Amino acid sequence: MFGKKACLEIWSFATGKLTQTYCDANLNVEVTFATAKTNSIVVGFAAQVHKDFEGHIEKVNGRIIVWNAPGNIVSESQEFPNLVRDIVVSPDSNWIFAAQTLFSRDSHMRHASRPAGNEAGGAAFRVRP
Amino acid sequence: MRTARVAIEATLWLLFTSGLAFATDMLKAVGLPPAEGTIVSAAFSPDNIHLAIIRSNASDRQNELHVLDVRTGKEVSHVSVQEESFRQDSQHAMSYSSDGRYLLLTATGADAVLVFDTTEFQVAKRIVLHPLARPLLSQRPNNFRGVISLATASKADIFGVLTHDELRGNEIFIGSFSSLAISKSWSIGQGRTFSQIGHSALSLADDGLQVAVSILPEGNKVPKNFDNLRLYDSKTGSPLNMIRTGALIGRSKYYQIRPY
Repeated sequence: MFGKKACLEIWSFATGKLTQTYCDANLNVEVTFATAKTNSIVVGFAAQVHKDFEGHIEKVNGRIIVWNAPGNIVSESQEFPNLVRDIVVSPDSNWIFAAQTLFSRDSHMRHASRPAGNEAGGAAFRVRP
Repeated sequence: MRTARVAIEATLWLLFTSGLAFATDMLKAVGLPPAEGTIVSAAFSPDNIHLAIIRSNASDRQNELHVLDVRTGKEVSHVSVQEESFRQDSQHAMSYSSDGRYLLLTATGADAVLVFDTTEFQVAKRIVLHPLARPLLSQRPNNFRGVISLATASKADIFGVLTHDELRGNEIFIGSFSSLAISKSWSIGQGRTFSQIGHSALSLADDGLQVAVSILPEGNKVPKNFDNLRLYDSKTGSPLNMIRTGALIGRSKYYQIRPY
């Protein structure tokens, strides 16, 4: 949103350092997130921010993304035309409430339609050990 | 046999890292009972069966608490939220107690939390955070005072509330569901509540013994001497650890990492 791409981050109180990040290949991941009681998943909103020529935010769209603990994207939602501010995850991680909608984590697998790779050439996620 | 397994794993890893086998699940939307109004807060019960939601209905200026069974999508119960300090249009916050018996409810800017007994579905206790403070202060537009964030411990009967006061700074309140009262509160100094690019928030360790807070500094940068991630002892309020992340923080949550 502000030049540098934003990611979800894990900071360690023990070391005082950043230990892991959860990113999307192209979008900022910020505004809101939630974790399940089992700590098995992290959920965030990957946002694309559209600004006018003066830098004012005109529109924010994006999708809800679910990562597993190592930082792999395991689920995602369809595109939302607006900013999703609050996400709530059930303790067992099977249910997500966001954008006035209750979601279940369907087990149906599909192949990703977007390319994977590193950031420059596209990693779908980035893990900093 | 071992060689074959290693080869299969290596192949899968190569496929995965090269993107050929990258696959994700699609989140599936589940229908909720039709009702008027906007949902301003939601919380799942610890047994994953119930979803509590607050619906704000502008037409009758009424907020209602609904509890749904996520397995059937049907409403289990609902009640009108009668609390004068909760502005109807403000963001609400809810969290279940670890045993699911209580539901803690508040609203941004309020100076009270309501503890609902989920067995009788009525308010068991209204807890005022600043009983001696003058209520006029929170009415001034530039003097925000009240709740910013709320959390419950997942394995203990402890809850925590973070409040903000433009004049007195931020405070942490720790209470228990067994006593239905605040047991400890302390000030953690100045800091903003939330902005377009950040959010002050509180969360508890599973056992409730530690409370983590992320605080927004006054400006749009984190000053060199400003620790924006802080860990406190819930019983004493003593600081345990501080981190300056360098960048502004949005929402935050404290959790213990398990090996994977």
